[in-house]
Parts: sequence; C-alpha cells; structure tokens
Amino acid sequence: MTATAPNPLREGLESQRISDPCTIVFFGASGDLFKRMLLPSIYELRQKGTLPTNFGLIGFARSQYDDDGFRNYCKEQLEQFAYGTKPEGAMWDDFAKSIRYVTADFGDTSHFEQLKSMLDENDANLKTGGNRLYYLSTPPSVFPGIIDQIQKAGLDPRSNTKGWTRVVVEKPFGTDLASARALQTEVEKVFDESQVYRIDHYLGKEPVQDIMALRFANVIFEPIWNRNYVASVQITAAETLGVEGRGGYYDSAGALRDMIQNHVMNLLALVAMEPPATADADAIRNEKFKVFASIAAPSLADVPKMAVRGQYDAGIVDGKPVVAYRAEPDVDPHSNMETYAAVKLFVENWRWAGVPFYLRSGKRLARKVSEIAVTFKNIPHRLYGENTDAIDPNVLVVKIQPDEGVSLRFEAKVPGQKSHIRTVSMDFNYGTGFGVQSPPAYERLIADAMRGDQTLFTRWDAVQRAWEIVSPILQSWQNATPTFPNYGAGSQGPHGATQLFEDWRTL
Amino acid sequence: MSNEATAATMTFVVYVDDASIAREAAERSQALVEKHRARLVLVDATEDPSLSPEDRQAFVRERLVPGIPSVLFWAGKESIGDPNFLALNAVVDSLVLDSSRGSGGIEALRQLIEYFSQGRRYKVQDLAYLRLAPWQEMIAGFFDDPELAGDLRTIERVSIAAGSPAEQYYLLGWLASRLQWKPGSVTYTLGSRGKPRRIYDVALTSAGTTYRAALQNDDERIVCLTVEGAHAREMHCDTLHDISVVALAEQAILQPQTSDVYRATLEAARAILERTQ
Repeated sequence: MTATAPNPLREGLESQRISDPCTIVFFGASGDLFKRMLLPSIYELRQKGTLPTNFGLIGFARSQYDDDGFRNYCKEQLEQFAYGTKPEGAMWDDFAKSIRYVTADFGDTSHFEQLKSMLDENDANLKTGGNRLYYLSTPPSVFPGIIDQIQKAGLDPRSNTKGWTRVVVEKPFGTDLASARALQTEVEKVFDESQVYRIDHYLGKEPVQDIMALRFANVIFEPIWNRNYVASVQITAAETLGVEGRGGYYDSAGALRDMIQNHVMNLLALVAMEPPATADADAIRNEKFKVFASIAAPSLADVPKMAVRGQYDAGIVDGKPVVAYRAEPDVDPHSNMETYAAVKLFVENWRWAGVPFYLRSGKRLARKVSEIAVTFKNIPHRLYGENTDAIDPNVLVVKIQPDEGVSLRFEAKVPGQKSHIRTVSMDFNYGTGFGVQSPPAYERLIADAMRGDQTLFTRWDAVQRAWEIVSPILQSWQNATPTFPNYGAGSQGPHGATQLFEDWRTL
Repeated sequence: MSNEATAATMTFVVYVDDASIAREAAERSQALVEKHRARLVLVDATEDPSLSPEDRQAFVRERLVPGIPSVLFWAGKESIGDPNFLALNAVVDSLVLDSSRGSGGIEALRQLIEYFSQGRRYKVQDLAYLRLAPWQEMIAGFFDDPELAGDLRTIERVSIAAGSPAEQYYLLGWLASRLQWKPGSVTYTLGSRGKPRRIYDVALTSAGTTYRAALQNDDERIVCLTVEGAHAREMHCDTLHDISVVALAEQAILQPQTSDVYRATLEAARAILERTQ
C-alpha cells in the first residue's frame, strides 16, 4: 500500500474525510439492491462532493451490457430511484464517464481477469491509485465463489501492491453458525479482518448512531442505565409489508435469521455496551462483542420459554386485504418459516444482570415501527396522585423508523386542585430538531467503507457470537412442527408473544 | 423593532437598516428561527432611525434568552464602522456578517480584519468566506491525486476572477496560509467579473501545469475542473453547492465557532491586503 502525505488544503474542510481515489466494483450490479439503494447512494455522494475526484465504478453481473449499455441502464435506474438530483446535464455526463461494466459468469476466472484489466486501466486513466473496493451485492450463496475467483485472478489484497483492497459483504453473513464459519474461512483466505466490511444497513441509520451519543454525550442517562433502574428493554423491528417479491429468499431465511440475528442484536449491543475507551472502530466493536459474550446461548430445553415464532395469515393491512404468507409468490404453500420472531435474552454482566431484553421482529404487523424502549422501574413509594391514578414507569424510546428521534415518557400533575397524575411525553424529532433529514444509511456506509472506517460494520467475532446465541432457537424450531399460521396480517403478532412478555408496546 | 416567538436553541438577533431588504430579511429570519426553534430579535433600524445605539443594545439585551447562545446577524449597510454594530456585537456571543454585502467593495473586509487585529473576540462567521467552501473543496481535490500532490509546493501564479474582492482575498489568504507562502513568492491576478458574491474562475499555475476551476458558461451550478500542461488530466465537472445567503446564514448560525483555518486565512489576507495598499 502506498503512503501519501496529507493534502494541506484539506485541513479544516467539511469533507476532510473524503476517501482516497478508488474504483468500486459492484458484484451483482444488475440486481435490485444495486439499482434501488447502492447506485442512488453513490450518485448522491457524487452530488455532495464526497466521492474522490479520481473515481471509477465497475458493474460486474450476469446481464449482458457493454459499457455504454450499462451507463444507460444506470441512468434509467437513477431516473426512477435517485432521491436527490436526477441524472442530467454535465454532472451526469461526468459521472457516466466513470462507469464501466463486465458481463460475467461468477464461475469463470477469465471474467475476473477481464475485471483486473479494467481496474488497471482505471488506475492508468482515472488515476484511481490501485485502490479497490469490492461490494458483494449478490445472493449470499455466490459469496464464496466470488471470493475464490478474486484470489485466482490476482485481485486479492496481497497481489495488489499499488493501493488498498477492501470487500463489503452484504448480510446475511451465513444462514446459520456452520455456514457463517464456512464463509468466514473463505473470506480469511483472501482478506484480513481489517479489509472486511460486513454491512448491516441498520447501523448506518442516524438514530442508531445517536444511541451512543445519547448515552455517552450526556451525563443524565448513564447513572440510571443499569439493573438498578431499568426494568426491561424492548427492541422492535416491525413491518407492515409482506415479503414483497422476495418470497424465494425469505422462505429459506425467516424473521430470526433475517432480522433478529443481525439488525436487532446489533441494536441490543449498542444499548447494553459499556462506554468504549475511545471512539475508534475497534474500541467500539470490542465493547459490542463483550455484550454478545455476556449473553448465554440458550439450551434446547429453554427455547420454548424464551422464544416465540409466528407466521401471518390473510388479513387487513392499511385498510387493504392481503394474502397469507403461504399464498405469497415463491413461498412453499406448506411453509413453516416464521415471519415473526420474539426472543427474551439476558445480558449476564454486572450492569445488566436480571434485566430482560425483549427482541421482536415481524412482517405484516399492525404498524411499521423500529424502536428501542427502555422501561424504568416503578417508583419505590407513592406520594402523588389519587389512588385510582395509574402511575406508569418512565420509558425512554429511541425511535429509528419511520419517525426518527427520542421520546421520554414521564408522569406529571394534571392542572387543578386535585393531585391527579397523568402520563405525558417529551419528544425530540431529528427532522424538526436539527432542521435536516437524516441521510440514507447506505450513503453513510459506502462512504465509510471507502474511507476505511469500520466502526459501523460488524466484526467477525460478533457475527459468530450472534449466530451461537440464535442457533439453539433455530435448531429447536427446526425440530418441532409449528401450528401456522398463527397471527392475522395487520395484528399485533401471535398470541404466544404475550406469554413471553405481557407488556409489549402496542404497534 | 419586533420580538417574536418563544425560545429554544438560540437567540437570533438580526440588524437591518436598508428598507429595500428589510421585509425579505424579516421573512427569511422568521423561516430560519422556525426551522431551528430559536427566538428572533429583529432590529429594523428603518422603523425608528432616531433610536440610539444604546437604545438598540438595551432592546436586544432585554430579549436575549438567558443560558443559550446568541448570534448577531449583521445586515447593516456599514459594518464595523457603524456604532450600532459595536453596541449590538457587545451583547451577543457570536457574529455573522457578509463582507461582500451591498456593493461588494473591499472596505468591509478591511474593517473586519482591523477589528479583530485589535484583539477583539474572534467568534465570527463571514458569509464571504463560507461562500468559498465548494471552491476550496474543488481546489483541494486537484491535489488528492498523489501524483499531483507535489505540485502544491511549486505554485507560482494564481488568478481569480470574481464579482467582488472579499472572496478573492479570502481565497488567496486561505491558499497562502495553508501552503505557507512567503510574501512575494507567488504572483496573483485578481480580475473583476460578473455578479458580486460569485467566483467565476480560479487558476493555479505551477512550474509546468495549470489547475483551473471555472463556472460553466451555460450553467452556473456546474464547475469544470481542468489540468493542463505536464500533468494534464481529463476535464471533470462538479456541482457548486448551494451558496445562497440563506443557506450560508443557516450554516453560520449552526456552527458559530471560528476555525483555526479561518483565523490563519484572515491573518494571511491581512498581509496580502497590506502589500497591495
């Protein structure tokens, strides 16, 4: 890798963290993720001036295109999916010049060699400095083959003496503990951990990043952020959508693999972690791993007491009738895959011993909401309020989507001569609070990967430990035939979830 | 003079003494405080010109929300030389002004430099400097290319075409302070062109290469970057980010701190201005 002196003109500029010159290769560039999320994010980064001047984008996928054909494809997709400036004029013309394409069979080494030639041409023509970011946006089953071909074609970091080489791996990282370990074995043959960026786009959302700021940039929360004051923590990732054309994938994944093992467990880690010594990526990721290490993997016998699954039936969502999961396209009509999962976990350490963490995620529920709710203990002695007044515990809610912000529920006296007490809420909303909307998660994460900042990416030890925790649940569920469907679309979820926990927040 | 709204994040004091912009300034200020939940204290000197600076200072002082930051947005015709400026600036935490306001002469920047060289506090944001940000980004971008980085130390000539001089001197000051130019080591040409508060063309010439960023003729939102000569590169275009007064004012009030880079720029601009007197 080449070391360059810092550019003195960059000091103090807003975009000081702009990345080195580089080429991004999108494996699977004709897929849905690329056109809906990745390409619009890259184009927006370009509009904001965050991309380096010397930049190349190479699409690598099965669909037949030449460079111009792929540029036209990108323009068409941006016209539909760009969330900022549309592709037109000199800006688009300039961006288009950086785009190239390889029509590829992922099993054919010659196509990877063609990619290598193209990258070398970019280094010569676009001055991309030998820096390469590979983005695996293909189905996970293809990851090991691509990584193998990267090595065979000499595209691996050890063969690249001119600059850096990094790889972004989309979730899911494996489909269970064994497959995750097998994938990691393949990854390790080619990349060091410092070169691997396991993406979980939830972590790029602004409110998720604010969890640490809320905890560690304020003095008022941390003293009560422990078992002495917290009664329970609920983490919810609920959707009103069904499988939306992804029935084939979802029917082999399910809610536990698709959401709980990664997104929701990562939120748990941010809530439960100890303050890191520094804001460095590894300091933060060390603390997150310690949280997972403090969660005991359940025994098979314990699973029914700590996990509930469900599958949606037909019902009404947003006023419209929707079909049952088993009637969705590409889903086995006898499928026993869960579309809802709720799990109760304990973080067995000094701070959290005895405090239950309730995690739930599901499709076709009553409301789309992602949030973390920290419920505090009841007051020790009642002084105020009529006996008939309920005095609810304080609840701090970090709202992730669709609302983004923080709210605190507390008790207040109702005006008047009587001392009635009523629950009120104090709300902070990102949009109105800062007068700006949060940037989309992929935009932030792609920019971080280009800059070499791994803070918001998941390290292997945490991925592995998360799989170890959910594996007994997967195994237990595999061993028993459920009675599905067991909740109506548009409902609060299966009845069994209330046996796990009575006080779920209403969706 | 008026006092609107309840407070939350800051007190935003706006001074205006030009009837032709008073209404627009009031509307834009109101929109800003609604967006950022601030208290607006509008000092419209056209309403009652007979009030003394002390009266205006008292008016503002009474309306500052205790315990939260206060920002003076100075939109007066005169700047540091106006006694109202001194009176109001004395009671707020930070200052936002535009050295290119009005006719866009150099006097306002000279006064600002003089004011701060007297050891006054430095919590100031000048829109004329903030306006440079996209140009600074693009000029810096030339030298992110490792092959071109060395050329930064061999710059011999700079030419800047702009509609007002404050931006030109700020840009020169920024380059001189970042690259530690010695007086007279680099020659520069400042050309007057087009509308005030707009930069049109910046060229840096090293021993064998010219780096140029210039507004596209048919679209003033686009800047085209060329490198010609020994290290020639293909032309590249970039978007000129929003540099409207409202966008810059918003940026200024949200980030009221004065950076070390700005301080150094102001010092270097002062040295350059002294040599041109």
